[in-house]
Amino acid sequence: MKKDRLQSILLPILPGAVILVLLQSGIIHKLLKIKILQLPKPMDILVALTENLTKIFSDAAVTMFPAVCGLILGALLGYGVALLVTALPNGGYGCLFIITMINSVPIAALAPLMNRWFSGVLAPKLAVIIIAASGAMAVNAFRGLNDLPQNVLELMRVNAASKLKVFTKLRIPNSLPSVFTALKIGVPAAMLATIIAEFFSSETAGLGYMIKYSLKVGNQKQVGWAYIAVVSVFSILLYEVICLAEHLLLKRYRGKRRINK
Amino acid sequence: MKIKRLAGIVVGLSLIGGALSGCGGQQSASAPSGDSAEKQKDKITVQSLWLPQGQFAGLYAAKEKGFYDAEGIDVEILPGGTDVSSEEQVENDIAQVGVAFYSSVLTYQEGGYDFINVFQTFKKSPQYLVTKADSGIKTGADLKGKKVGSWFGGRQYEFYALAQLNGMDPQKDIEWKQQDYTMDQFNSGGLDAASAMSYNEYLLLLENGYSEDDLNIIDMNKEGAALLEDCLFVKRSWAEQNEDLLVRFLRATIKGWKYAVENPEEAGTLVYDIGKSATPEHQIAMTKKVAELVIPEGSDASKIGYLDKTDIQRTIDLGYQSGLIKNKINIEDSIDSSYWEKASK
Amino acid sequence: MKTYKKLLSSVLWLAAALIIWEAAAYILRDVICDPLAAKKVPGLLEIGASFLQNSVELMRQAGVTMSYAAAGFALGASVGIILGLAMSISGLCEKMILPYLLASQMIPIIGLAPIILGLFKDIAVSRVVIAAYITFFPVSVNFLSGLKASEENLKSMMRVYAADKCRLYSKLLVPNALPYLFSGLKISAPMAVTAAVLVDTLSSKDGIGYVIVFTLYGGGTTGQFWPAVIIAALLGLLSFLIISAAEYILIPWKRQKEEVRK
Repeated sequence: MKKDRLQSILLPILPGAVILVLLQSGIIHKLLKIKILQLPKPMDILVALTENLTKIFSDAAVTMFPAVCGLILGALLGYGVALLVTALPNGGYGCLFIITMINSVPIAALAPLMNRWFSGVLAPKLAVIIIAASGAMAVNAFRGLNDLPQNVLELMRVNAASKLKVFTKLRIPNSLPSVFTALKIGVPAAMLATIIAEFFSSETAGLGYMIKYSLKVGNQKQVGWAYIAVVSVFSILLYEVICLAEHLLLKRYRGKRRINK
Repeated sequence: MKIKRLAGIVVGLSLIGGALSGCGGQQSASAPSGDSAEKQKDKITVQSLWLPQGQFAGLYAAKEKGFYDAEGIDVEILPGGTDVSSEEQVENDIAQVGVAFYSSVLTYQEGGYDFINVFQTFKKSPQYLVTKADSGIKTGADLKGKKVGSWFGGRQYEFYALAQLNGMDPQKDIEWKQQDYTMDQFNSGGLDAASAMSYNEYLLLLENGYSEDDLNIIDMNKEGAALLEDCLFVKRSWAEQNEDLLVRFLRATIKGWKYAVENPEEAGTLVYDIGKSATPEHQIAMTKKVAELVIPEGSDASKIGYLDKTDIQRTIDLGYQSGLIKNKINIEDSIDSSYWEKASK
Repeated sequence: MKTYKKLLSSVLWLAAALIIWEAAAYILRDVICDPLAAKKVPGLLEIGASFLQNSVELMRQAGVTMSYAAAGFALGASVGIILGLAMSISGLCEKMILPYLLASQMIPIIGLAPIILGLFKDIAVSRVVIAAYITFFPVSVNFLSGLKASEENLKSMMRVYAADKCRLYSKLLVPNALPYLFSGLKISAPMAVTAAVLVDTLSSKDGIGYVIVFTLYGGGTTGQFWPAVIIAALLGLLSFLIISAAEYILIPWKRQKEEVRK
């Protein structure tokens, strides 16, 4: 057991370690003919990271707060749309289309537009993230709410269960796995949306601002990549939190179902 | 179970390896073909900074008026984009000649890219900070505590230098704002002083209801904070191997700029016809403004592209002071005027 | 749900959205008198006029973007499916590569572009590769969770019948995961369009993204910006509909289930 746990921690680190070693030794650079400046070596990135640590933390706070809030609000919005579409099967379908359309507006166009719609620095950013995070949730949750185990549905029909009951006892629990899938896709979508929104923000702080700020200057690219690394770590953390929540919640729900049986 | 785990490791690693080697194979196959084609045709690809506009009128004039053809060069001008820099395009051999701010080229030189500036297109900095006339902000010294817009990405250092020249700490004494490429933040009062290029954003303000009397201009040249902008740079190794080609290219480019400066109406229209960007009037106005940067007062057409060491050294010094570069780059490592000298004869 | 009802509902929702838009435009312009009204929410007539004026050019640009999106999507979805399968076959493989796949998505195009362009030395190829790069992640995550969701008891039943892994996958897990795969595809197809729009600005001369960015930088949210944004949205919707149609044709059993339910 102990050995297993150790392995389950060590093995995921292995490919990363291999990549890092290959990058540091310059083998990848040589193979792919990438210039050191285009993709700085890990140690240089680490140095840039430690040199800018306090600034990085304050920038992370600026970015992660709207990213997490936007992800949650976007997920709620997307789920709400999916509920609506399911509840009004004939009237609601077009709503999915609208949200898909809004979702297809490129963020690089959306961000400047939101800057004009909303004032301040937080509101436009949030709006962009909410839109980016809601699309995956609407489509996935809609599938979860409608792709039902037929035998259970039939059983509920036979027992004359009300529409509400079908929702609370069957559809919503059935949609939970899809909700988590959508959240997992939503993490990179929301993070990228935050980063791009910060490219266009009037603010002069945040991970996205610093990425743009540093990558465009020829001698500061390692700083830019340090920030990219930070963004990656934060999104992996966010992803793991969602996986953990999924694990806990679905375990409880599966346990319950077993008892019901 | 163990076998399954082992299989997992193998699959995982081989996927990564496969992805890498796949890319590598592709690369080695495509590189030589580009090289040989280039030698046969004397083809030069120029990476511009932005879409066709008056800012690059000389290049487009040289192409459209056949000056490059006359030198036996087939020139393609790639418009610039938001996510890719001229420096990277030249380093990656996608283009041989790049248009970039000299101040930006300096940072790449410091980062280890072996570029040389061979043609200093703009002799003056077109960078303005524009304020409303009633704000009372007229010089760099008045900027203390104000909201100042910059496009960042390296463009902020000219303002840092300006702040330092006026005894300010750029990080503390000025409230910086990211400015988008419109003047909306300036119009709505979100900025006290807005970044504007003399040849573009400033003209847009005038075209959209402001008169010259409504605006104060803080001119980086008058403030002594000017960093040199548009230049042509190449890889040093490429230049050494293609000396004749580069000289011919520069000769035609000088002709192109001379033409654009003397015929701004025609050059502006020609640029508009290629890119359909903004309006013909805007492109003509831009070309006229740019002409003042290419041949400033007191200079003449024989000096188009000339690399003035005083200006270059000032850019290096100010860049070093303001933090743009960490080391004072030796001027001889940064520019090479021999190609220009041969071309301008 | 019957097709015409879906259609009717879509038309009604679209009409509602347009009415709200026009109302907002009217209020901004004529009631609040916002000087930036035309940049925030222009009237539908203005957008329509700008669209008509430039329709030929815009359609050509849309075609360019869509072809890059299609190529990027084909490549990205294939990679996504392979990765999803690999991660499902071995839980360890999932643990080992999933975090890195996620991290890979965090590299913005501005960091990625020089590397990809340096690799392929060709803008067109790089555009496809970057579009694929953005597309593969949602496909693989959705496909993976679909494969996982295939119920444990069904799996063990197949094991009892001594089905080998290959048959387990081809007969049970993959067919069961197809609806998940398709919702992954439905999400990532519009993403491929967005990605293609983004890479339009990689030093290229065409595509809807080119129109958007260059109007944006040349005066802000005016002129061709609006029709171009709407075309981008419509392209996204179109890709969504194409995948829905493919789903309808390729997984008949889902359709039959739906028909039973009605």
